[in-house]
Amino acid sequence: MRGKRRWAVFWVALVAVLAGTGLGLWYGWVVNPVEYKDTDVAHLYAVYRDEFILMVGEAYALDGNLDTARARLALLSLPDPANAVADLAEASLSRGASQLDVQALARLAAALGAQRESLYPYLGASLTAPSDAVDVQP
Amino acid sequence: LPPLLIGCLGVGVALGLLISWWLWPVEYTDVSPDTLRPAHRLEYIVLIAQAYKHDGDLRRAQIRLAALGDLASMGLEVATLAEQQAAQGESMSPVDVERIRALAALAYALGHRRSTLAAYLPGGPGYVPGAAPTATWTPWPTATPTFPPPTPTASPTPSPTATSQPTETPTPALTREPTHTLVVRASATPSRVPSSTVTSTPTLTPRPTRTPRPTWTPTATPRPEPRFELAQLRRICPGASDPKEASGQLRITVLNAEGEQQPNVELLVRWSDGEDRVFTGLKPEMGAGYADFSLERGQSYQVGVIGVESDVAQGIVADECVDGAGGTQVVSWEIVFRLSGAGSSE
Repeated sequence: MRGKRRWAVFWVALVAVLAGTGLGLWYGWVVNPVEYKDTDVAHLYAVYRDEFILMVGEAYALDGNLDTARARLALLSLPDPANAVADLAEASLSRGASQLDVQALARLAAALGAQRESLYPYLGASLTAPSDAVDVQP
Repeated sequence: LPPLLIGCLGVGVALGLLISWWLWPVEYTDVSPDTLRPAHRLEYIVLIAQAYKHDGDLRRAQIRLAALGDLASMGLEVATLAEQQAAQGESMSPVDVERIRALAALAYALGHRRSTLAAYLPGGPGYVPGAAPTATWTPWPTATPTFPPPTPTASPTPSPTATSQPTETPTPALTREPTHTLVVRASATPSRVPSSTVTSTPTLTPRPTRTPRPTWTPTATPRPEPRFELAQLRRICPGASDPKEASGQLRITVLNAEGEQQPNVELLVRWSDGEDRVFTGLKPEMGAGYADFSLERGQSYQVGVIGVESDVAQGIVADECVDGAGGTQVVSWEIVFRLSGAGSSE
């Protein structure tokens, strides 16, 4: 009789723990999950990471500061930033992106040490780009 | 038994929370830029500005900024960021100066014109290419001229003799002109209006010898810039009046300044983890300025016109409503943008 009661208590306790665990998981995963408010650039969607690399290339085309470009790419935690930039340059080329974009990426890739034959034509003379986008009227 | 039950339940909850919050939390690997930490957000904004300075593509910059937050507030954030960085003063390196210039240019293009940033814009006072701006700068011109010409208030009096003389210095040089009234215009101190007028034949019109010389000549008649304003934002429960009405639809109409529907306008529809662009005029049977977009249940959206300044329609939530037949439907929204300020000048 006493043994049966012990088993009953055990089962009730087990069910209660499982139910509580389920409740806790439901609360922690569904109702109030961990929120990432302060994420890193490295966690961005692939499309935004590509956009970030392109912007680093454009900024490098603007200021020619390779150290800054390297530091910015480091935010993405890429295993091989140079080849990532070169890959993006080739992908941009194949999908018909603007020459200005391809050139910016190709030059950054080359400066970082990634040489690709397909990108050689974009390492030459500067393409025409607006030097000052602002038209200030005195 | 109940205390044991409650105790075990509590242990279970604690275990569940331990797993879900610490051991195996929800992982966000594909996040959008609006969740970035402040330092990375700042770098992202600076990159957008520098990319804009490189390619001059404002529309692209707007799309990039829209990923960080609503378009209306992003321009303000860019301008504020530029001002904060400009406040560093003389400790700035050439790299800092270039960053501020890029931010100032983008803020300017987005319609945020700050006098503190004028020195960082080409053509602005104190702007020196390749160098930090000089410490002294002339404030940005305001819409109201600093020196409005004084308006004579007195009319010719019958008395042929003048009773008072203007005392402003320098004394205006007078030239004879074949008019019949004498109007004295003070230029050095425009707030003081001479009260004397003399009726005589011929009369004299003094011509000021000095004119105020603001470094930037203010524009007397500011021209409002074209801007799409949100004329209507309406939540509709489909089927409430028309059973065939499509549910979960964003219906956008873009009007020009005359109120006519405007085709080929590009709109940005943005939601929590994505964005898309739509153009007006692709369904001419619905109207030349019409565009629509399918809403996803439970999602919230923002809509704005890209390429020009625009209000941003916010708070568009694709929630549910009960239609006339008692069924649940995803709501639809109607948005109307209207162009204002286009080409209108005084």
